[in-house]
Amino acid sequence: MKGTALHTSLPGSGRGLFRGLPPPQPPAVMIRDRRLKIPQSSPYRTPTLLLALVLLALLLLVLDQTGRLGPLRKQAEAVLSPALAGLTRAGDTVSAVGQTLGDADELRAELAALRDENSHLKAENIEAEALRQENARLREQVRIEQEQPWQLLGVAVSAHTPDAGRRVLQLGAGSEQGVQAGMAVIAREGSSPPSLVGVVESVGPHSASVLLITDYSSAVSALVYHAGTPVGGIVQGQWQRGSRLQLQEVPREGTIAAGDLVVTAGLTAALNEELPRAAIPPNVPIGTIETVMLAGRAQAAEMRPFVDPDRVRYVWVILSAGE
Amino acid sequence: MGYSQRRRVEEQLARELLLALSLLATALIQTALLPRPLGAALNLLLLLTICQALLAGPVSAARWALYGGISLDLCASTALGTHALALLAAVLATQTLGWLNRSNWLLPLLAAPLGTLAYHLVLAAVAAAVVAPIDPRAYALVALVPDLLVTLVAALPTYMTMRALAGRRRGEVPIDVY
Repeated sequence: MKGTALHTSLPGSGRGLFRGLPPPQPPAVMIRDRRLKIPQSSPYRTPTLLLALVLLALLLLVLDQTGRLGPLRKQAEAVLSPALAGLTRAGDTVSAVGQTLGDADELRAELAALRDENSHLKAENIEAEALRQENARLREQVRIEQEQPWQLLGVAVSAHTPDAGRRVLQLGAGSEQGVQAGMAVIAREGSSPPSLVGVVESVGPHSASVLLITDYSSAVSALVYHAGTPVGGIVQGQWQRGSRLQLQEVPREGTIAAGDLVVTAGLTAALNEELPRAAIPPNVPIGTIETVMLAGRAQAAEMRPFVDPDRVRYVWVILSAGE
Repeated sequence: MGYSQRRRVEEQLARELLLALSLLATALIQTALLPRPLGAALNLLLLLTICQALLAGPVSAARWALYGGISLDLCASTALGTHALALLAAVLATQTLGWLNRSNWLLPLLAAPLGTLAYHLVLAAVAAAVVAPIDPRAYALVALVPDLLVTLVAALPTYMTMRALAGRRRGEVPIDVY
């Protein structure tokens, strides 16, 4: 009887505001006065309320299934729909942000995979470019072999010797590939004909050293064609003297002029003791004459090579000149 | 009806309305806002109703179940009363743990799976009766087990938070039983 206790313990009850009023009835008594109310102390109160709520839910279910709550439900859903749509959008945004943050590891892994793939693609691209260049060189080689009676071996230049005293190339092919000392090495640059750049000086199993025609120790027998008439001479390297090539030992009676074509004579083996096995075939282009001068009893001429030997990156070794 | 009694009734109605609106907002958040990692979302209203049943008793929790269930039905476009019945079943199921002290940490960990099981049993039964027959095994794998696991994970922190809030309102000092 809390109510009674509260009422009787109120200070000043029966006086002031409450004076003259009938004493208030305790709530429990008031509830008891109503037949439909269940006293709070009753053990049946909780089960009854639960049962009532369950029945209410069932009633709602039945009414909804029979369509009697249709209009009411539609109105409620019409009110809720905008709120649901807005919250869903907000939820999607939050989820997207969360997913982005959560996917950081996945993105890192994907980035690493993409970098790896990019690296592979770059390598493949380089390989494809190398193959394209090799294809072009092989086509060029075939074309040269069709024009000339030469058997060629295409080789990439692996190094230009940094020794300032000599002009030498290192090739990535040697005796295992059929390269021998004394063989002529030709190259091509731009629209120039395939021209002599040097002679194989020494050979290893898989490498070879090429003495360039611009080196001072290089001497190649040559022919100058002037108006269809051949004139002999020796092409001497002049790099250590500040020039490139010089045509020497041309007889005075021979006529040569600027612009004349100089080709190999095929006699190098007889002229150069250091290259006893020199096997430079005849008629390999070397360059053109720029200026002619008298040198004692003979003539000499400054020459311009068709190919700058210092710039070549790919050469062909003439393995044989099967005439 | 006297003035004070009418006012008491008005206050009670206002409290009920506030409770219903709060649960409606919760239902909206549960339906639209909560993330669904791996397809499983937290059944917030079920969890709150179970905790309320443990802390405040079945009558108060049943009111939560009714308001929250109707709100869920409105948000999810299910038959009105379906979720209310399911939540009421969860409230009733948790009452079997009345022998445990509410200070015991085991209480929410036992009540969460029990309530979730009862909730889904009723939900599946009503869906089967009203909508279409369902495959119990598939329903258990797709709906019951994920929901049960998520509710179980969230049960203890939710219960502790609600208990601390209720205790603060009453001026209680929390004592845990291990």
